[in-house]
Amino acid sequence: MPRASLAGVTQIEFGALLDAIPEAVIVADHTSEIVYANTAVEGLLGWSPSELVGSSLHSIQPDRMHDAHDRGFRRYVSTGTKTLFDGPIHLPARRRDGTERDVELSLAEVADADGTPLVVGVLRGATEQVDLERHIAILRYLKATTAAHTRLWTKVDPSVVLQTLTDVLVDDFDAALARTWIHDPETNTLRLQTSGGITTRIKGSTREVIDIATSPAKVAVVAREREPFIRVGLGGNPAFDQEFVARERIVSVIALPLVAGDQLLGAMVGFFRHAIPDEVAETIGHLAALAAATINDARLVAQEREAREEADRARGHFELLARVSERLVSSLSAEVSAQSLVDTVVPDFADWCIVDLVTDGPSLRAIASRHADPRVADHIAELRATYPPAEDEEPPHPIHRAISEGETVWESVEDGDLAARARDPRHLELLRAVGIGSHVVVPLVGRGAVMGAISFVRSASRPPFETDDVATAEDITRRAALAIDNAQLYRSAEQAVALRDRFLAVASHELRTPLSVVRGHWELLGRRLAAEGSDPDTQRQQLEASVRRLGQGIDQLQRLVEDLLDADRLRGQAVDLKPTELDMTMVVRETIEDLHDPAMRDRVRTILPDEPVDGVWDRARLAQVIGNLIGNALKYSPDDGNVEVEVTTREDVVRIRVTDSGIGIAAEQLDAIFEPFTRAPNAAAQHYPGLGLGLAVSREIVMTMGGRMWAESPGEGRGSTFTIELPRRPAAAAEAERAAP
Amino acid sequence: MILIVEDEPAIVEVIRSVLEDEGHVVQSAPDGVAALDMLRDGIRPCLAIVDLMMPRMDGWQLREHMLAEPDLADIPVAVVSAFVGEISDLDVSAIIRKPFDLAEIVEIADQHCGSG
Repeated sequence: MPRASLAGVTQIEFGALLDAIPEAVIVADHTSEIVYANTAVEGLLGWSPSELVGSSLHSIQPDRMHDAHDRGFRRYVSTGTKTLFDGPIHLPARRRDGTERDVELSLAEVADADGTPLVVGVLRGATEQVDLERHIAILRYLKATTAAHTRLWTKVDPSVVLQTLTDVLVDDFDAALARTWIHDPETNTLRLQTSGGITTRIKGSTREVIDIATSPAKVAVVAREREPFIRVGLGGNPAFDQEFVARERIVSVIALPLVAGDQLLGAMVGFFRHAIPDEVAETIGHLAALAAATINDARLVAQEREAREEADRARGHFELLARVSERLVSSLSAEVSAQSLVDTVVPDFADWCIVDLVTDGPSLRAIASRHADPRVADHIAELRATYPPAEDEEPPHPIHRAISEGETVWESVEDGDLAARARDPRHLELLRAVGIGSHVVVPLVGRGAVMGAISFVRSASRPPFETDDVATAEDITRRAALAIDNAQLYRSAEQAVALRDRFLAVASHELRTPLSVVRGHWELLGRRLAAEGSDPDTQRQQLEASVRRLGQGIDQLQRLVEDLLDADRLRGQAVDLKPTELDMTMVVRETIEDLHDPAMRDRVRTILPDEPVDGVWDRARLAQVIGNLIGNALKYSPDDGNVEVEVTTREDVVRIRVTDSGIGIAAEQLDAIFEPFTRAPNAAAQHYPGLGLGLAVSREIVMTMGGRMWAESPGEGRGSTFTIELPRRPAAAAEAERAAP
Repeated sequence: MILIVEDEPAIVEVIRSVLEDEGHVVQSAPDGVAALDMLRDGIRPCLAIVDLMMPRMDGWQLREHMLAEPDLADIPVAVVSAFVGEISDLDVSAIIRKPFDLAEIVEIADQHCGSG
């Protein structure tokens, strides 16, 4: 940050100026002594300005940070090293009452009238509120992105594509300046194509043509290395024109290469007056990828004139892509996007297309499917319900192969292959009825992770997929991945905003019932103590009953509060585990014995191995998870239905399944019920009490133990099964054992 | 006679106790279905104290059924709810918010059923 001079500003004006700023401002001299604090400091940290002036900066720092502060400050004073002056940093501050809170700190150096240097720190509270605002901003950007997708995908001329990209950055993403370059492969240079936003001179990058191999400009670097460059806080960075950065108050920059396949097509740069959240940077990355793909498509169309036959195919590919793209961007719901996709590719491109997403458990979730022959739909439904693709099939199922290897599976399928895969005669019958001659299964990859796969299937009666078709299938899938990924980002941002509302509604409702019991009995107690002339024996019995009820109500309140605290503790933090050698069958038996109500105990059946199932787990946490599942199973099984708890082992994995015959779970709720404060609509609508926390907490615990947990249900009213899979011992312990001689 | 329709036994117990202490006769039903059965069998309370959130048939549905049957439409109803938002579209004599004040319940009971 440049050193500003305040010479000429009087002490009083300076103070009035700083008091007018909503952020907390603290000024210290070179001995770390606080010489000034504005009034906003009191709101943030609880210290009044007069208390702070004259004391050391240590007063507002937790003890553990004093040494680091002293070292850094000494280095700054003696050598002028300003490591922390380069943009806001996050750190804990100590409040007057001794508690800590996270703050965002920006530093600057100023000089007083005598020219003595002073350090100014501006502090902002970093709270969840900021997070919410960030999520709301992300929602807005994602909505803009959806509109931008349509605008980008419908262009065929590269210069129009790049102009659109520039406009979107300036209009929808509030870029101060956006520029694009196009790559000339002959000379390996970048040619300036578009510029939007402020029209201003920037030193070093006003040249129309930039040599990629030698130029130090950031666009040349990102084009050379094919790596994006994102930076928040540009002050002092010699790669950027500091005069421009200061004048235009530029805070962040994003520079991206425009690449399709392994071909460099150009580059773009956006300068912003605000910090870009990671999610928004990602979205801009998506748009740049999209622009590159569109330019690439446009080039395919251009080559059309040279080779007609080749071009016909390319046009078919391009037209199909354009149609798919248009449909994909019309919605921010993954399900709706996927359904439009399969409706577009069937029957022209494939006879059957199905989109599967991976879930938290081993099963896949089909979010869209379409077959050219509507009569086959029932067969497909039966195939998926009775013979779902399994992870451990032999030979491996093509969908799981594509997902686990992250690569396209492309093959012709003979009747013998179907026979090898069929688990029984009915299975083979169904596979034949669906008619599989060749298939291309492409993994859906979003943000580096495989989200699922799209299977394109042609029947044996038509020519199998060829190399060109595989490229088309991969292009379609890449676009679908962008749309689904955006939809999921949108959903999670929306959920973060909704979480707080749900918490307030659920917590207040669930707390009011036990509170009514406690309050009512307390009042009753008072009334009966005051009642005159009642029989002493009766009065004593009544009082005892009230005291007992009060105890139960307080227990219930305490459990609710502990659940809430547990959920809060677990959010974003690792569970503290105390693993010991245990027998899982004993833990299950004891958890059932601990159930309060003997009638409940009688409803639980167990299927346990005869041998002990030994392993290393945290007993209390394990009992909490199993108890939660059994409790839920009993609670959601009206009419005293039975609950079955089964423990099985496979190699080093122990599986606990809790099955009930209760109200069941709709397919689309199977993942959602694990979100905190989220309850399945059929559970909430029938007024089963609950905070919607048990499953969220349980899953967090199971994941910390290195395991996984998921729900299955044939549908509403048809019971549910919850499964926990746990390794017998933590990964670290298992490794140590293997390493031991 | 006062009818309490509430699924939480501990709440039923506390309301029943205070009303019986005041000399009222009290019956209870665990949900809307059971309450409607009792009313159709001919019991005629001077007041029904109805929880809104119950399994099988909730308070809103019970009230709709009662209003639709001329014999039951005039029975005074006081609803009890932990519901935080506004409770609209409910044609009732009183709304009691959880956590409630027993004196408030006694007062409503006295209003409709005389003091014991």
